[in-house]
Amino acid sequence: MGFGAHEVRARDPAKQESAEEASGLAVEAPLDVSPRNASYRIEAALDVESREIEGRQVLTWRNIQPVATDELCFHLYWNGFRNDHSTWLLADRLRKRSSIKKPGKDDWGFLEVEGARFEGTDRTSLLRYAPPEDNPHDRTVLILPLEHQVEPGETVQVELDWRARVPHTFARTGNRAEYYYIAHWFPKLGVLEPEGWNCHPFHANTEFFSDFGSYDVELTLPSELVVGATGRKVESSDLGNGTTLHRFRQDDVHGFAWTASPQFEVHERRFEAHGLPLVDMRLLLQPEHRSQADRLFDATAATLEHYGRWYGPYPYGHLTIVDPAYQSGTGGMEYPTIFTSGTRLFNPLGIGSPEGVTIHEAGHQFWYGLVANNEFEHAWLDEGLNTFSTARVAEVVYGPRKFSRRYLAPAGTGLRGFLPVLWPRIELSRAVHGNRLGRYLGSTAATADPLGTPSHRYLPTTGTRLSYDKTALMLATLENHLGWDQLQQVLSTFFRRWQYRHPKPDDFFAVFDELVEEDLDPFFDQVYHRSVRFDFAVDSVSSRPVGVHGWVGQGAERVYQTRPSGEDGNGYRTEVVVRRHGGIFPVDVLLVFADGHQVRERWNGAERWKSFVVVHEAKLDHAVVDPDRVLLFDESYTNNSRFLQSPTKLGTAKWASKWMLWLQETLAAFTFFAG
Amino acid sequence: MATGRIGRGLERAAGIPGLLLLLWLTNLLAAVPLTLALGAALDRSFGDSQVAERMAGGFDSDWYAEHQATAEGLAGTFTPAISGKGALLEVLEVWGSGELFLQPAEVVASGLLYGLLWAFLSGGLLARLAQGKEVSFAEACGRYFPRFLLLAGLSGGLYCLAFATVRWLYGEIERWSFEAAAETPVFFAVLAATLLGWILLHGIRLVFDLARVGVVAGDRSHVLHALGESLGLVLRRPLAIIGTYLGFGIFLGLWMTFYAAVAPTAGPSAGPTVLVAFFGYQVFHLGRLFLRASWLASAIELWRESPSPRRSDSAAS
Repeated sequence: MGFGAHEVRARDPAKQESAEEASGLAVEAPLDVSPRNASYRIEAALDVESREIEGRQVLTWRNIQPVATDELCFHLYWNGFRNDHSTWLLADRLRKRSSIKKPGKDDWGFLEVEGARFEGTDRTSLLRYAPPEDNPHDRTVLILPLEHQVEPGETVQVELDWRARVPHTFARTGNRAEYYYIAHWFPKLGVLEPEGWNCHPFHANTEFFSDFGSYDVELTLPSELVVGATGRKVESSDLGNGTTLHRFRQDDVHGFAWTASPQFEVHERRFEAHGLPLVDMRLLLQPEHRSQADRLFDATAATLEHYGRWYGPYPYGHLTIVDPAYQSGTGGMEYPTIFTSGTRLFNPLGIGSPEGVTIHEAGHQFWYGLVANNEFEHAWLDEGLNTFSTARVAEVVYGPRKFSRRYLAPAGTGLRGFLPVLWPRIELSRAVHGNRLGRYLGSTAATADPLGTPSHRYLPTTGTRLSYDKTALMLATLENHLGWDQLQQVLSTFFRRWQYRHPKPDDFFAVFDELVEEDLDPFFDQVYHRSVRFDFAVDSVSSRPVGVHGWVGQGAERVYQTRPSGEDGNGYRTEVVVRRHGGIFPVDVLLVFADGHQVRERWNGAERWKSFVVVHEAKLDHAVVDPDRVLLFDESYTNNSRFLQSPTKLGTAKWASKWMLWLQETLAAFTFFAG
Repeated sequence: MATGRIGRGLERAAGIPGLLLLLWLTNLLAAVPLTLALGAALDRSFGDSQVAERMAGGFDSDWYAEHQATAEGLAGTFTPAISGKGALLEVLEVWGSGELFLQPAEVVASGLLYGLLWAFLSGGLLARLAQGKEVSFAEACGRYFPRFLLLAGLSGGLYCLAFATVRWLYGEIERWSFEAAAETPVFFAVLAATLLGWILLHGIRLVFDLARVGVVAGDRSHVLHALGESLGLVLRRPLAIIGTYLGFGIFLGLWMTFYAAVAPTAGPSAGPTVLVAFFGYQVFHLGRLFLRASWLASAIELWRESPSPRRSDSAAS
């Protein structure tokens, strides 16, 4: 059954067309390799004393759009950490979870282009920043005017000399002591679209967007550092002055990150699974986590296998897992063929860590790495799809996570508790906890911006809840509604079609239109275009004996009938009233009778309420609306069921008594101070 | 010897079962009003739904996600972490960090009232331990209450200083660990700071416990004199006093560990299981009161073993 009739905001077909045009490629044909239209040759040297990187890069760019351009537009992401007037820092403050509370002189970073040559001509003096209208101080976008227009299909080369200061970690890039995690670190070209350059100022709510290319990067670093990076290492030569040159190459990626630390232990394992390409996994591990190496490898392998089978194979043949330094603030971040996981000293099995974060970041190799949506505008496309997929892999491989708490948390600091304690009998379901319903409901995201709002315009405190949680809940609801087979078909088609490309939301919805017979527009309209809340409830239940109480018949035949007892063999008339307090969604209504008999009816959920009447020989036991919990957006699932007779109070007694013991203990703690 | 003193303390406390039951009952009854309020809140939340059944049979973590998103105040303190060993761990965590007073107002108010009641009853408890049945429990409670209240106020200031010290240490560790690549040294630093905090808190309590003993057993009317004497006593006989206190600490630690190991958590329950869990905790709590009383009895003996150079100032009162 489909969704009830109501207003549907039609998606703009012209928009979809422009998305297809923007790719410059026919969407029907999956790509075996990326367009490789933004390729970089970078030489960079790190001076650990000054924490500065001196770099030179040659960008080879091919215009794959149907429009010409007379300028190039670069992201200088690290200028987001240049001072407290950057757009990134201003937005970060609004998120109320600043990366560094009070940055000092040593904490800031920057990225400055010191020379620019276009086709051999010096263009340095023409460089200009392009700040957003609301913040003239921002220097995260740099424009290089060109000597002539670059026509569609034309290839040009640009050389840039630049200097960067490594920040203490902001946005999961930077340095702490001898540990470096260096990402979005060089002048990086934006994406030319038919409408012009898509090159947003760096914003705390969002991440990145770049074209695919080939990277050939030479890093000159102190020889004692163990190095990992995007791509495969093709050369490593000791320069004899205490430094070593490391050269990495990678095709078909849209970014390059690297890490270095003298503490890293290198572990290697090969991923092999029938029907999927081999992947050499390289783990750069903090020595104190040696006992967790297998868990990190296993979670990565599980991701490669399940994402590979569900969506499409991982094509690069190698993947670097980084276990970040404890206080580096760089954990849980993805870049092409390299990602940071993150674990703790004590992490018992069942706690969900480091497995969860490892699956999530490895999963980004697919949603972000291969299907490269614009994270400034549609962060939900990678974060949400990946959050949903993370929970699915975690459940398939590890089963439900267990409830846990970390104790020994130093009060008044940002340090988290050290000692985890598990409650093995309290399991956390994928549907609710894996897809983060609690966090979503606990925030104001449900009433904040529609999911379809450009990500950088989300209310800053709700960005994560929308991009990650709401999207995951949307997909999990669709999985419940359509079945995994159909959703998997949609997601794998979307993946294959948009691998090595930049899909937009309409490209995603188009696959549903194409493969799903049911019209899902009403659902997407409510959860994507609007911020509709959902709540179904069983309003009332009753079971009365069949038969009339009162006068029946006419004239001489008129008789007074007493109240029927229900034991006369006529059975009971059961009536269940179900209400819809929020948005529309088709739901099942299940009536379970005292003799075990069940009646399940479908309701399109369009009306505000509906009454279900069943005559059966036994009384009703209970009724449930949406018994399979298909609609995960239902904000109060507790009111979805109701018993005819008040159920046992044992649950209340049990948990109130447990709480009482806690209270007695708390009261006893107060006596410590009293005598 | 500390062991002998501990044994005699245990013996003395075993001789006042009625009083221990009274103290236990006070704790139990003090918890009843808020428990009823919480139970009513849970009942409203479960309603006539399937959640009520699931919560009887285990724990419905999906319901908890809803609850957590909306619950405030007293209801917000309900978490599955309070079950089983969690009841001890949760309280130890907030006690050690000084955040006991940052809980919902209803809990703090109950805690403060109960603390006052405890200060009141302590006088009677100590008098009974020191002088046996010839002293009137109620009369002793009233007699020593003003001095015990003053001692509680003075100790409160010192406890605040102890918490401030620990928090300052935590802050320093956080600053120091800003560049830390490994968690291990930070863990040990936090552990050390926490242990130091515990030592400070218990050190303060030890001195004030002896001062209370001095007020009752030594009949000191000036709390500052009592405090000075108790500090002098600790300095004169540190091994005997700390050894005895530590001995009871070990007993308490073992008792708590035993309870944490056997306390039921969130499994399927029938009515009897709920009752067993409830009474199990009451036995644990009674055991702890017994250890507390035993320590106080030993402290009285310590006080009497080491007469102060000062004369009793009871005449001055």
